[in-house]
Amino acid sequence: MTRTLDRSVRLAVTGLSGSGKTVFITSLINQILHGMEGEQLPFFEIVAAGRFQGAKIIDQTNLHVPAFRYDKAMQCLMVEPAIWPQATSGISEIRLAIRFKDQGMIAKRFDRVSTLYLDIIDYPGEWLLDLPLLDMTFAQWCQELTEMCEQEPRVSLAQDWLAYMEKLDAAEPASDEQLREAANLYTQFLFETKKSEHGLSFLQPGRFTMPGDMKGAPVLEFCPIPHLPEQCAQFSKKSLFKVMEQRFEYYKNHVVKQFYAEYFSSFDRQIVLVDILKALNIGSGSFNDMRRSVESVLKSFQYGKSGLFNRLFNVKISKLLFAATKADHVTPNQLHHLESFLKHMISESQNNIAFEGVAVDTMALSSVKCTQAATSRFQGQPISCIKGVPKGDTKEVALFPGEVPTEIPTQDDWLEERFNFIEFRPPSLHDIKSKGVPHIRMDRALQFLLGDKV
Amino acid sequence: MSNKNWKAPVFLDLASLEEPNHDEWSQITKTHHEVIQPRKTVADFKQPVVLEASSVTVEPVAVVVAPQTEVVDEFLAADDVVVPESKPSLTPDWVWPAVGATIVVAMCLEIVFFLVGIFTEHFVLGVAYLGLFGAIFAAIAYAVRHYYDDIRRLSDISELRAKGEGLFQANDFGQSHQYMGELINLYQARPGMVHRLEKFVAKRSDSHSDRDTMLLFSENVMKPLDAKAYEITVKRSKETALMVVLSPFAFLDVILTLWRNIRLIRDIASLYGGRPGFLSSMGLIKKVLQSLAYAEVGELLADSAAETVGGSLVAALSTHIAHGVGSGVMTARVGVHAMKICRPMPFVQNDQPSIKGVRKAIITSVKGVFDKEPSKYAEPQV
Ligand SMILES: Nc1nc2c(ncn2[C@@H]2O[C@H](COP(=O)(O)OP(=O)(O)OP(=O)(O)O)[C@@H](O)[C@H]2O)c(=O)[nH]1
Ligand SMILES: [Mg+2]
Repeated sequence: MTRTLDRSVRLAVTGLSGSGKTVFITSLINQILHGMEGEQLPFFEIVAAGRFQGAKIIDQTNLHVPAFRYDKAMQCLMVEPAIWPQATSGISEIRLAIRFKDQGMIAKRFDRVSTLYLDIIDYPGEWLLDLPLLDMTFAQWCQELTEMCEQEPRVSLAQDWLAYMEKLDAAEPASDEQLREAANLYTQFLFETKKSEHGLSFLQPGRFTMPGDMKGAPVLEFCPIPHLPEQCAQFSKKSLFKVMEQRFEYYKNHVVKQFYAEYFSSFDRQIVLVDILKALNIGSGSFNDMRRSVESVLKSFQYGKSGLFNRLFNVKISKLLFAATKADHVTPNQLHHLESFLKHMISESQNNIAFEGVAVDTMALSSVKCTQAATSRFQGQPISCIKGVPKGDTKEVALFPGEVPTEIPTQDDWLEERFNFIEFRPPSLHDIKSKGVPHIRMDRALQFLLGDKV
Repeated sequence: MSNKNWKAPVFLDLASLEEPNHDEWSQITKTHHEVIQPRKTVADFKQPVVLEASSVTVEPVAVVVAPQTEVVDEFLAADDVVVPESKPSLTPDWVWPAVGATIVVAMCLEIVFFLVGIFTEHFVLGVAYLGLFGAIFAAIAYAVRHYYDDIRRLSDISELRAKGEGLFQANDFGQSHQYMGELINLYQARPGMVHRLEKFVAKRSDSHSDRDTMLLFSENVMKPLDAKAYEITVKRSKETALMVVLSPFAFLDVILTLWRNIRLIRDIASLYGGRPGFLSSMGLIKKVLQSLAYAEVGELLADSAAETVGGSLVAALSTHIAHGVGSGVMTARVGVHAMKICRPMPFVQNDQPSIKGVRKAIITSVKGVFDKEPSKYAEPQV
């Protein structure tokens, strides 16, 4: 029962796989649950002003959806040495009730306490790239993939699959085995490109690399057809093309659309997490792929009348936050580099993406701060650096992590070892149980996303 | 390409780390902790090297405590630090001395005319008035002198303010260290401030920008001082308003206003712990002179206005009250201006003080005095 005075917010946390959604949600919940201490969130107004009255996790409204395991995620951070939560393989949901003293004149007089219900869902980032498919026909998708597979590193990684497809004729019927084998090889190719040394992120369809509860379902047995002949529309009903097309459409309507209609149709705030540093580390191929993925996802989320998402699901969001995650990988004086880099990156796509009537902001944040800022000397000059334990290591290191570019690097800028933002192990939290997880700018993110509702 | 010389990563020796750049503010001295970015020498940067992690001692969070000093006044605690007198020459443009001179001349003429009038009527009464005025003058002159000395004894805050202004504009990282240290030094000796400073230190994180740090300090440490300063401003303004309403002579208005104004400035400067520098004093002196001019001229206007309206007691009273309220508002302007220039951290964001609320407070308080009494007189008037 929601009394009229109470409010609710559904926050959509969007981001490609590995961008830090699960960690962000965990930290966000943790920060709010520890809000009463008031020290960790100085820029979250209700906490700073002492209006915050406490928060707790309550039963979600959709009882059939798995609950987000906050306790499990926290356990990972509480063990010694701490580890990161695993990659997400399915959907989960969590609901928070935040109690606060109301700010309005009348409310103040009566010392009224209100409640804000915050719903958040977590899901594998892979599924996000299914969204652009909704706006495409099978033929268009094949065309796009054909073009993509003409460039490295995809050309070499796709060899097996491409060779197999060579042998098939799109106009002729294909056996079930052939279909299965084609889909199988295509999936292997996707997994290959996803490996950390290639770090590509534009991987469609999303369920192929992260099937969730659909593992082995026939709906996942299709793949694009490279070099599709022009006259494909006239192919017979039993042809490879028509069968693939039919499955593609089925996938769109019964998997993708259903997922988004069910979980994304009622949200009113969105945060888009982007891991710029990882993409920069691997190189220009990975970076451009990430950029393309983010752009195409954003295009689907375009919030004008013409936007796909709005057209299909009638969503009205009022606030949209772009966040560069893992800001603790760089020295604090580079936070604004990270911010302006992200701004640069999305502003190019924003030119053709209208976020009508939506408040948009950009910031660099870190859900879990793994490093400390320090200063040292290098070649006789003072230098600001960070200190932390690298991922998979046990010994602390101090380093100047290199500089975040403020503009998009051109092809010549990708020098060897130019970008090497190393990853860190989360800090051991087992001894600071009574305090919130250390973070960078989570309070500002909270203020932007929830500030007007509390 | 030159603008794209992004610096490559460098691994450093853990032992070479200087202390994490906060936490030791209470020990801060005049040493500089400037962090200069390395020059853009990308070519020199070698492959990343991890150096041996040897013992790094992280300094414990220092608690900001300092010996208590004698409490002078409920809000003037710990301001009796004797600062060697520096001599800012307070010579403004010729305009304001001229205004000042005019006020003084007008005042003297008024007194002379008044006394001459009295003397021609009654010699003894004249002597009595002369003595009375002399005594009031001497007392107020003494008080003003005293307040002025108090102000002079405070240290010049303008440099600190300018530094804060610069830091806030630059919005850099790690440069505000020394500035914050100086502010902490300024306030840590005051009773009740230590836990506020500790709160500030607890909330600060090494990822906060200089601007963030200043906002935090403003919110956690300065805010109560601002509230107090505002309270003082309202209080002194009310006093000025009442005195002006009650005083029968324009020249008395002027010296009473001067007295309250100087005291107000003294109180605010002591509260914030420093006096404004020479340049910012100009603006303040201008405001004080304006309020004195208002006291002088306004009284005369009020008198003549009352006469033209018909000389009834109510009319005279209401014009006097209006004049009093006006003087109070002028004093509030002085207070707000003093707040702006005495605060060691410039007002940032939307926490700027304003005189908006003061007028209402003054009217309420003046009314409070007259609402009861005029009713006695008001009756036969009808
Ligand atoms: N240093 C640091 N690393 C982070 C932070 N957030 C995430 N990471 C790293 O990023 C990895 C991925 O984070 P997740 O939250 O699991 O990413 P996700 O978006 O949920 O990924 P999927 O579940 O695969 O969609 C973690 O394992 C960490 O190594 C952060 O705030 N600081
Ligand atoms: Mg996840």
